[in-house]
Amino acid sequence: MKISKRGVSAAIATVATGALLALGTPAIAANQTVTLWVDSGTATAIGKEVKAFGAKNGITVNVVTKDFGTLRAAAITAIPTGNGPDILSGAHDWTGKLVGAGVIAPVNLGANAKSFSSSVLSGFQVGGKLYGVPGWTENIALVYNKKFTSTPTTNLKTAVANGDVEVGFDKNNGDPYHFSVFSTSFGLSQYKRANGTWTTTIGMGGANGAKYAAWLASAKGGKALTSGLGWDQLNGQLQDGVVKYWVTGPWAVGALQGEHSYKNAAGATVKSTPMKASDIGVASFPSVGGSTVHQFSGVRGYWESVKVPGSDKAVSVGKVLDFLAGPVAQLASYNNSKNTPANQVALSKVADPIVKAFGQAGVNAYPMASFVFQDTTWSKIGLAEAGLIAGKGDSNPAKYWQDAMTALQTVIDAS
Amino acid sequence: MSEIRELTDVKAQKRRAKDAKALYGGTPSLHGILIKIALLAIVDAAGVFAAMQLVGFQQWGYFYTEVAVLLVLNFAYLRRGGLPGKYLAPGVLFLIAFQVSVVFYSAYIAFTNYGALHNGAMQDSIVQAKLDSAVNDTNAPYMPVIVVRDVNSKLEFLASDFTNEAKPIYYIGGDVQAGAVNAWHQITDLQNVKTETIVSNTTLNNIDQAVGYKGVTALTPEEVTMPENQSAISSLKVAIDGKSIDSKAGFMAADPSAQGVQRTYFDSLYNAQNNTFTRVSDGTVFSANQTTGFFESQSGERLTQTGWRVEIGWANFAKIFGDTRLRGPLANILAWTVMFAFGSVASTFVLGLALAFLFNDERIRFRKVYRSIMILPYAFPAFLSAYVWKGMFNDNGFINRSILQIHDNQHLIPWLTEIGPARWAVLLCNLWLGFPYMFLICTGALQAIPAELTESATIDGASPWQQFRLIKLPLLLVTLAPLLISSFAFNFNNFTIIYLLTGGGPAGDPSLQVQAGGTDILISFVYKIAFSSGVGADYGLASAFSILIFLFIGSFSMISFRRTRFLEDLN
Repeated sequence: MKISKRGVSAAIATVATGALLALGTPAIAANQTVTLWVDSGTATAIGKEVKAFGAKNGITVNVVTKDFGTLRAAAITAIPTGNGPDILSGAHDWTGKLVGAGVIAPVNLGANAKSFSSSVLSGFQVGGKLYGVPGWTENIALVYNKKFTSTPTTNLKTAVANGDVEVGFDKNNGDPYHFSVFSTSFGLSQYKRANGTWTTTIGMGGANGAKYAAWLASAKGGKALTSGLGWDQLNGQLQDGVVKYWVTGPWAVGALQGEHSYKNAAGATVKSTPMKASDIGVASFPSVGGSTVHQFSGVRGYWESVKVPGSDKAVSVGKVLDFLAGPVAQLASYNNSKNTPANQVALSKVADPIVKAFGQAGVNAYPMASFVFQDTTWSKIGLAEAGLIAGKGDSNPAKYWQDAMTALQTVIDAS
Repeated sequence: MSEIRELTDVKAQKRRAKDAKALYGGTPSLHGILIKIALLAIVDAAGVFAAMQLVGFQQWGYFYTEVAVLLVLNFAYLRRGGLPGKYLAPGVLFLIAFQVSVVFYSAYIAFTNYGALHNGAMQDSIVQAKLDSAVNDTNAPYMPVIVVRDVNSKLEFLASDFTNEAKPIYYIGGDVQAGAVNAWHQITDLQNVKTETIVSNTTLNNIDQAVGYKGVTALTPEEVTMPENQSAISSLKVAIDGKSIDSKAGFMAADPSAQGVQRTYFDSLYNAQNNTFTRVSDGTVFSANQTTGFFESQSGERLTQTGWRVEIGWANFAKIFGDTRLRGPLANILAWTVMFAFGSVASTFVLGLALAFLFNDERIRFRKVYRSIMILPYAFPAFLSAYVWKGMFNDNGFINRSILQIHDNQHLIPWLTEIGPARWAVLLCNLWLGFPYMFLICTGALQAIPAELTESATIDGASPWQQFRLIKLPLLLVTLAPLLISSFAFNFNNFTIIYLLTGGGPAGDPSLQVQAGGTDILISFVYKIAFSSGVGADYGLASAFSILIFLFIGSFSMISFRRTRFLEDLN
């Protein structure tokens, strides 16, 4: 049997044309799905609740979990093409870049607006306009083990010199977030401040900068600040009393109650003894350099895609956003993940002493700046701090430090 | 002799081609046809479905491309003969889709300022700037709202100001210019409103109790969630002075969840005709600058931070060659890249060749076992090995503590954190990853050298070293030279190992304005520029770099291949 080639082609053509004709005006289903891009932490904190809220209100909420490190870049690429999320979550200091990329819309918090402090809101503002919905706040404090330390120290400088304090930081890249505890105590400020907000002038140089650089250069060596300690090492050392204090945030609370393998002084791998929650002490930072400590605070939050306002799901997305800002979701995030609610109504219902102590330790904290060039600032300051601790600037710490800050200001001014 | 003549005979060639056609293009079996049609039908079905979707989304460019691809595929498989085409068609299409088009797209991006501040099109920028220009007056009362429909079927806001809880004030109004009955005004004749309904309505829960003011009816929750209403409510701006939303008085706009309205005003006004924004406070005009991709005033002030993507000619290339901040780091990076690529090829080749010779000796027992073990690093996924090496190179890692037996913390070798050791670490790890490949191809090439050659050389009294240097190595190089060149090209762009092992680090002197790491090769530096440098992503500059790397590697390979042809002629 021979099948005619022409016949086959004709058949296919007929089917294809028929299908196209049958299509006529293509029916595209009305899209009432609200898509959230969140990191795994946020998914744990509010994922279930936000889906339940959607179900109750006839909104399909699609919670997509993304890697925290790549979420922002992915959203910036995806939103202009129309394939991005309706709502994305992240750290408040992303705001500048998101606005610069033109992917998020200003928001009106509506009835929830009065439930947030102006300091928290300032983290999400660019040019005085509010772009994000605050979710929860976090700041670092001096964490200690009540089993070994009954009263926390008032002399952090000596504690550091004695090697009693541990900070997690990378040998090369440093960690200016944690080091803000030290730098601000010398009267420094990442950027100079005016009217309760950041300016774009770096405030890390000058005479105070020189003092800080000298202290950093002296704080190196086996005894004082050790770089490159891993997560388990940091946990284990505090749990077993190898060190007395740990500069860390509420994210360590859970981990301190678990077992960790770490290397002891002799270089042997040992297992730590988990702490009880009641043994976790949280204190404010005494000043190393003499000035008030203004460590950074971070606010996690949510932004609305620029594609949403005026779109056919604007109200649905708005309702989800309103839910996330409200006390129900913020309390759920506290219950699920021990996050400190940014919403004051929710915060007033929090009873956990550790969460409260972190809040008290952070009364002087400033939300991190969110300029579009913020990454450069972090990396440059971190590099210089790590360099000094590694002894790279030993010949002239003040110059090593000032040169880096000058270069940073030049890069910022050029942008 | 006759064979050669036949080969060179054009007529004979044509005849052979005809034979081939008869062979491959002849009547196929029914079985084969049916399978072919079934497979093609699946492809066509998917293709037609995709085409319908594209028509639905009005993506005409993609639609035509898609249909063309479908026609080419059908033509290739339905026609008689053209066997090579049947094999090549899918491959060529994928090549075009995933390689050629990407190259062309990169080349295009290299001539734009696509990056952190120039992310989208100008239209997106305008949308963003318009959204930004609407300032929400947070000092004005936030009024719970009910969205209602008036007798003209136009949407209006029915809002209540609860500043004085005991004595709320009611407002109503819609967009008069769009045909709404009510301009924004306070409801004074309260007897016409079921006030108790509104008072209880601080949330949207019970709006089913309609309000009967001038015949307006409240939207039910279902109506509110209808797509067309959602966009209408979200876009509704009710002029407070009843005339223009552009006036200083501003307008009432709903919050994102449409539960309340608040006074909002424009701090700059868009003029669609001239495509300009005018700042209300001082009258400064910001016009679209198509060279910088920003709305800019006469004095160069930018309206917003958000720009759009524009074509900027050769500016990115000029930056690469002209920017003094880039020049220093670039020279270093280029030098190290060449060192790294050359060092990797040389070290892997020498080790691979030596091992190939060793295990080519027939006196060794269990050669096959050894050879198999040698190939293991190659069989392992490179990224996994890189991570394992990273762990071993750690200050407290296996290499320092167990191999080198360093127990004094002060003398640990900073494998990944100092530039010198880090470069050695990268080369060592790459040697591990790369030598099995060289071992494989050298073994293959060695075995292809006829045994007679070695035998006659031995009879002629050549020492093993002479045999290797004068006979085997030249013969090997003929076959291996092209592979060495491609290996160089591969390592020149070996992003994976750098990224995974050191991330390009250790970072250098913090007083430099452009931060390049000590082990950054060109491609990893380009990655940093593209995704995480300075002000943020600069895809335009990164693409320009990629194009230059492409040209460099391309010309290097071309020249090298020419020279290997010369090597071939020698033998």
